[in-house]
Amino acid sequence: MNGDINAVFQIAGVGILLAIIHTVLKQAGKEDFAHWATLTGFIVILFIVISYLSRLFTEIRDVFLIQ
Amino acid sequence: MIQVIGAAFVLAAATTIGYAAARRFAARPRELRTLATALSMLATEIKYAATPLPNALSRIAHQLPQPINGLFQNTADVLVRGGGMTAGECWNTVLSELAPSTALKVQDLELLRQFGHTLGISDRDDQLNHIRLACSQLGSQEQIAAFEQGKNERLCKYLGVLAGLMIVILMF
Repeated sequence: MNGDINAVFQIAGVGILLAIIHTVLKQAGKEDFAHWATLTGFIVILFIVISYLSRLFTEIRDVFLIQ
Repeated sequence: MIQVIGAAFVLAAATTIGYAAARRFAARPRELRTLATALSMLATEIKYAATPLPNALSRIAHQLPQPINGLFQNTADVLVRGGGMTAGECWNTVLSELAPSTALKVQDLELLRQFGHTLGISDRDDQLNHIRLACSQLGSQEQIAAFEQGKNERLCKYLGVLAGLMIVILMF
């Protein structure tokens, strides 16, 4: 339970920072760079989330005894 | 505990990288302004005192801050040493070896190289005209550099800190 809570906080922190970086870059006029940075952050978070999702689906399959 | 120290190190490193990049942006207008001042001092020396070139360069070098004074001082030294190189060649040689230690960009160096070609080959009035041309070109480059600095300096600092924070959060 504690490990999962840490993951949620991690993702939330990265998300907030990503929003700040996007805004800072957009304010400085580098719009395309801002979009690239946001996309990169999103992909990083996606990697973290996908591992949890795969574990979730394995658990569901085991609980409902689906082959 | 060790984790906190490591995170602090990563954050400090990222912040320092951001600040170093910001400092490069800030140094360029300042160096361009020093160069323009130095060239106008050279024009004054030539116009009113008719000082020979190595002495004038050396005198100006004593009044300038680093790293621009190195350019003038080394040119003066190479000229005094002799060896058959023209003033323009001395200037360009010194420029090439000192260029990495300055914050000047390719355009500024190209300007200075062109100015070097005109050194010491014409009479006084022509030389003064060349110097005035170089001064005005440096002035316009300085304006562009100041504009870029305004845009990029704060951005680099913020990005450094934010990237450090992101890495720290991801590593925890």
